[in-house]
Amino acid sequence: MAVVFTFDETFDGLLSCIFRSYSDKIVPERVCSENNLQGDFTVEFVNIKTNPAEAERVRKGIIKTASWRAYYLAYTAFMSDLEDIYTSVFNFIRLSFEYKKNVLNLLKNDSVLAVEKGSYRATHEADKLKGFLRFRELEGGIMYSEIEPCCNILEILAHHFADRFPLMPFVIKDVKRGLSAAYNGDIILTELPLENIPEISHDEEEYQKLWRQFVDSVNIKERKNPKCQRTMMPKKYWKHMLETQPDTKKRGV
Amino acid sequence: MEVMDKLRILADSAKYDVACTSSGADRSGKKAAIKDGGGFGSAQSSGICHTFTGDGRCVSLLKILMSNMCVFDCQYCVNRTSNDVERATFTPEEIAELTMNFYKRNYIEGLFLSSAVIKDADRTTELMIRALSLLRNKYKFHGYIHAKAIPGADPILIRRLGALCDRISVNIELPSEKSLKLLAPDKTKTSILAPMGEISSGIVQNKNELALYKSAPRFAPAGQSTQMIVGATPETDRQIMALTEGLYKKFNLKRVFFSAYIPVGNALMLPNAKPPLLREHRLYQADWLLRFYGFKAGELLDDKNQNFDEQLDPKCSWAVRNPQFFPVEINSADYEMLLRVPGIGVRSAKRIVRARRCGGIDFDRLKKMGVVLKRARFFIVCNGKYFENMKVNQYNIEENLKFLAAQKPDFKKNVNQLSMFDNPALLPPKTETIKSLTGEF
Repeated sequence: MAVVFTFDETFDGLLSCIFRSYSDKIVPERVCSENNLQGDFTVEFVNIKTNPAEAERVRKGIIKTASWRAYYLAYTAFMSDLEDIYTSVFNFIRLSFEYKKNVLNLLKNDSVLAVEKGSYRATHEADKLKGFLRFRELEGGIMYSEIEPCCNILEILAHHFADRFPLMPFVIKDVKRGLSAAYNGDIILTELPLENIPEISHDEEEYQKLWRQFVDSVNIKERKNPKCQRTMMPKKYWKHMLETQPDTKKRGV
Repeated sequence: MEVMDKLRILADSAKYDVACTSSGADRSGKKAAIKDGGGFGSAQSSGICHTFTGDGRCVSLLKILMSNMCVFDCQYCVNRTSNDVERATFTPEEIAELTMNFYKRNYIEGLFLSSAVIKDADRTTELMIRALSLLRNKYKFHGYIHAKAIPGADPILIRRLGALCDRISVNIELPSEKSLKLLAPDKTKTSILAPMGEISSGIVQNKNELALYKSAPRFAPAGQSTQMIVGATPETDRQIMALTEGLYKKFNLKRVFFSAYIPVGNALMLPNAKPPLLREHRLYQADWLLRFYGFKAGELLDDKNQNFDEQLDPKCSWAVRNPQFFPVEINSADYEMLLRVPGIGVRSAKRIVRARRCGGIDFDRLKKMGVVLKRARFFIVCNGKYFENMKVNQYNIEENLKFLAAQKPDFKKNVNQLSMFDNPALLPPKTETIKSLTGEF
């Protein structure tokens, strides 16, 4: 009977699946979330408990045998919202033990292609949001931002801004997933709901106005090209940006 | 005057400067803050776009003029002294405050500071230096800064300006000295090329210093760029490309930007037409071919072809004129040749080379790998066979490519000066021929 691995949707969990696959000599047909079981009587679900020590061994193994790049591809692809990405990443990691450094050239394999594509989707979206994310200053000086990305890229963004603003406390909330990243010297990722968010600071509204004035001013009307604007900055991101809100009432906070 | 009004006026006056890239510099914010004892800001080598305006251009930097009170009278420029516009000047303090506050809210990647000529070039440059050193030294800002050097400024001042920013640029303004004389009487070829040479030698010198001392102060680490206005004067594309290539070679520029001329105010000497956006687009395509695809300007245009084709992009035009290089065998052609195939870019060419190490490639695999075959199929073979065994000869390639180009919805809008039906030679070929060629449509 075909086996399906289920796990807790963490990357360590997926690495634990790899460990079990080798230790118990099972090659599952699919790997999927333990919260979302879909199947029939022809498959047997095996739940894999996340084990950080096993995960660490697999992690080191991938980097040593395949390459750091292969690990990076797997890690970032895992964040993406591609269909059945868990299975693709799982297969990719198994292949990377088999083909070693050559796994990156194995472009005839569907799992390798899916992992490349997933990694591109996630890192590409992260690159976009590094620009489109907007902070607002709250009373007390904490910077606060809300995002709604397709891929689960909060961690990439948190690291980017922690490096950029090493001395500035900030919170980024992924409202779609109920995840938050808080930084004040160290990055903490949490699923806890945020309560008592302070009011915006005294200067905040003034700078929001100045920013909208600037964006209005730099637009060249003779070159109007809304299609190009939407291609480069898809509408799905507009909701959380100040300058794209249609009227002043809805704008800002 | 309120900061809001100054921003409105001075952002509006700066918008015709095209460069807004924040690329080329790589700097960790954490390391910079440790070295500098505080502050914030980092730079990412690929650059980051923060928003896009209604005209589809990226906004990466807070692009403003220090002042638009200009003593010069360049005909193509909105800020010329004879033009009746609102005038304003920022104080260095205001610029620093604005940059810091925009930056920490993640509105921008840094500052692009340019200026009209207040009194004279030296005085203007000094003011810019004051604003930038305030930002760098007092506010400890480590984000990206692009400064525009003012033609005619003292070389020592230009050096000091370059030491404060990531990228520095001098606008070449117009593609020939004759046009410059006519339209920008206060600027000369030497007053523009001298600072360019100064900056370029500063960058080379700094590289040598860095090789000796890792901690040597950086001079314009993201390099030098320039821009020129296209469509205001009669130069051909061929002249423009030759100039561009020369600038890359001689001054080691990172980028040359083109800006389609937009009539500003009522300058009598200049055409009052719509901005030549398609031409600008073609020039950028060709610029890419020079920088990333190993093309030379002389290959793209020649005596017979002085301007780029409006229907075909420069790479397609080159390929159609040079059938002796095609078809290219995907399984054996070297990387440089793959890059020359219309429709295959740097990403695809690299993937093909990588994939070849793990076995042969056929058209199915090419498609799966995401290589777009729309144009490429006329120029490539896999194991000696064309895509779906179509019959290709050099006479129908051009017709088909033009037909494909005409299918794009944007095409008709952009090429309104060229009517498809006035000239029978440009009519799309009969649909039947195409069907038999491709099996698609």
